[in-house]
Amino acid sequence: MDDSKIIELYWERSENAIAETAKKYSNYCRRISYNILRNDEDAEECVNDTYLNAWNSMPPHRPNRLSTFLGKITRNLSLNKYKQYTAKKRGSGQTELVLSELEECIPGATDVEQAVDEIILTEALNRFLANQPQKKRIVFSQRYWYLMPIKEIAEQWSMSESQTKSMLFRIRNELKLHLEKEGITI
Amino acid sequence: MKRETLLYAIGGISDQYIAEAAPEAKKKKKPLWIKWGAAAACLSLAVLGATLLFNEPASDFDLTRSTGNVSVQYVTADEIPEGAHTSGILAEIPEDELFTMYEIIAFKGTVQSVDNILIEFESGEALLYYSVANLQVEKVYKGDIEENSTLKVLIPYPFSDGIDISNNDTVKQLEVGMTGIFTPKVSNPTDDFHQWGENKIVFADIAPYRFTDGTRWMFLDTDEGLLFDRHSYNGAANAETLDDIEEYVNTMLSDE
Repeated sequence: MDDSKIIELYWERSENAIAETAKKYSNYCRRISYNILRNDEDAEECVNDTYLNAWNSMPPHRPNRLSTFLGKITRNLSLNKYKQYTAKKRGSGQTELVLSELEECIPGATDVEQAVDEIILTEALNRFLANQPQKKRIVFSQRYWYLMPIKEIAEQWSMSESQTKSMLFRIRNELKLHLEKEGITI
Repeated sequence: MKRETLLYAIGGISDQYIAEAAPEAKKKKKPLWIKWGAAAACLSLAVLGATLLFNEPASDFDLTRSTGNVSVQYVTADEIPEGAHTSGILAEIPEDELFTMYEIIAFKGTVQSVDNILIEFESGEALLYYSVANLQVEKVYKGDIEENSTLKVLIPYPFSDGIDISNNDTVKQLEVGMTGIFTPKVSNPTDDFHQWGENKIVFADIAPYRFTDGTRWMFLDTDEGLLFDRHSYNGAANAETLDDIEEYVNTMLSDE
């Protein structure tokens, strides 16, 4: 079913909205959640909560792109759930690896700067991504938005894992420079 | 806590960047022998043998102008992985150039069928999911084509229920039995191809005509009214029927 029709179902408060959403996007959302949590049951729970969140936010929302609207909800719910995990459970997924990679992008603090809020940081990220060649931008999003394992990204782009890692390494360095240039402290 | 802030902030990046990076579903090749049964399995082994012998992949099309290790096969919708349909950024084309920049044909016709195909390089190293529409010509506006003939047109997307990243594609609404006015490009063996490494698929080996994207080049008479890219075809923005489009297309073609 067309996205616009699915959104219309939400606005009409029709229960089919959720069935149609699940039919079209359950795999997409499950994949996002599973990359973060590495746990089928918890991922399933996050996907179901995604539908509930979508139901509660449409109306008043009318998303331009249903896929990423749902994806963002799933990603946030999954990251929140991840926070509740014990150290032992955290070790198994991509999230811990991704977090330690992201640590490298964080600019050093100076005393004059104030830590920025998330929205300003997101805007700086968008400016950074807008100036990247498409391939690098996609690889960045696949790793740091979708938390895809390096191996999967490498396969999709017919690169070796080490090529993928060094590409990500370069992107992280550039991001750090970009954030520093914009005077951003996290 | 800081690195978490960055991870959450990345979550809010532009929808466009998220959509273009949607992961491809894992390649899940169906074991065809289950579907075909043992006898067919023997046959396919024989075909495989022959393939290995001649060192060329088996193909449902006659790929005389394509080079390297490439094959094209018909596939069913459920063989198409989710996320296979991702469209890139569409370059703007000025309205008049939509009729002049390529050698196009223009006709009114009906959709007879749409079949998904898989273009495979290096025996599965790289995969492209496209489709081929069979369009029956009703009325010719331009080109060396005949009324009542059926034309094959290559579409750079597959048709499936999988995730649809590009909401705006006109072609997604294409259905069997639907009437429309179409202006596909004549596939030129020197310009229209896709290369992967040393391997090259020449689109004219698949179909003599092609839509270079799924948004423009077609005006569809759908149940919900006339559908086309009103932004690109600005001069027809107020069109309501295919007759309006016919008039518009004829005018644009005579201005060439």
